[in-house]
Amino acid sequence: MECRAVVSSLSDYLDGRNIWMSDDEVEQIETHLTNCPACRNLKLEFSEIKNAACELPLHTPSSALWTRISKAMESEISTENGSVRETQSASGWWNWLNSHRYTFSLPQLAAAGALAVILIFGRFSGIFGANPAPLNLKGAQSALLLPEEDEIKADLERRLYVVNSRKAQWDSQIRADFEQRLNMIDESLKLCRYKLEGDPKDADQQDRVRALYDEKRKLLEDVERLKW
Amino acid sequence: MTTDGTNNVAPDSLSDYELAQASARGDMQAFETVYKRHHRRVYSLCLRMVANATEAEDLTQEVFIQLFRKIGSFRGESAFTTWLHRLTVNHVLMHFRKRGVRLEKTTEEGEIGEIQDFLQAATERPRFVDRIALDKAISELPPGYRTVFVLHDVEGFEHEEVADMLGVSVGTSKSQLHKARMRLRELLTKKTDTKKETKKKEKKK
Repeated sequence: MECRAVVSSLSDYLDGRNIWMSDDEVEQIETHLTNCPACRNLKLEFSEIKNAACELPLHTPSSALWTRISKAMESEISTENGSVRETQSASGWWNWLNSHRYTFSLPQLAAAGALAVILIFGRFSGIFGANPAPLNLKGAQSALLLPEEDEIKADLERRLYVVNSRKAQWDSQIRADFEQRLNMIDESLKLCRYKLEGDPKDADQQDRVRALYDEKRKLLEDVERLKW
Repeated sequence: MTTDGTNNVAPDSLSDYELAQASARGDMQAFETVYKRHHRRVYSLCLRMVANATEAEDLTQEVFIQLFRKIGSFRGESAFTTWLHRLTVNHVLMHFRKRGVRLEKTTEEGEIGEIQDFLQAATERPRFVDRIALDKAISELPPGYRTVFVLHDVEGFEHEEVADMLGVSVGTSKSQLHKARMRLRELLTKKTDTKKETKKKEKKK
């Protein structure tokens, strides 16, 4: 094999002679390298370039870069005039929304929802006594406990209708997270309304119910605005 | 895991996956830890591909903003570094496309003219690969050669991956890499010769 042919095959020989070359080709190259100091030296230089390339030092950007990045992210997720700016990624917005926007955190809602489940289970299993008062969470749902409740419910139903019509096209993880959050709010609402039914004049409980309706409205409003 | 007494986990002790999950929940401290762990690698990759520090910083900024948007979708099937790596490369390649940089352009450089003269010179020159000089030489490569060399030799992508990312054939990727190595060899040799000449002149004085 001539020098020109060996030189043009050197990279393939170094990177993948066992994959790209036949045994015969490899043998010819190795025989040539044994007898040709120039090609042998060139092969060594290529090897050293390749080895040195794996060990190049890491460079460090300016210390101001993180400041610029964090500022850019803050302006990306900030609200303007009460509206949420659309981001390129639905999941990025969704994660931000879950962590920043709402009055109740997921753990708080989860705790309230879990308490509602315990109360329901407790009633059926008798752990609250032989003849407990009937637990009418459904009743708590239908009776109006706040003067403005009719209007609130109508608004929420309209928003939910719009969101449900779009939900099928969402990323499955976002849809699951959204439904989880909505279920938690609804379970918490059931519980708080049940308690309010026991004492309709309890102002704190009235405020909690209003806050939960507001939470639900905000969630649906923000999702609706993004027009996914 | 360590805690700081308030049931909050110190971010530095978390895995990349855990930091990604925390970042996705809006934890900026976790995301800053991600940045501190990986920013040099991202910046170095950008710098070697574009050979311009200002441009590399802008690209690094864009990559991390994009990362923040997408970090919730990291499921841990691959290593976080691999995932971030791919994100960085794709972003830089998109940048090249927007600028109209043609990476697949071949040039006459790297073609051997008088093979015997070339090899004769190769016999005479000592081995020379200085990593700092190599880094500088990479920045002097034409964009197409530089991109393939950085992706294959520096970053460790296989030819099939490089070809897929660049939208070229495996054969083109191999050919560009070979020419890049030949060109680097020439650049490094010139630097070595220049140093030798400078030393000779200094001795005469």
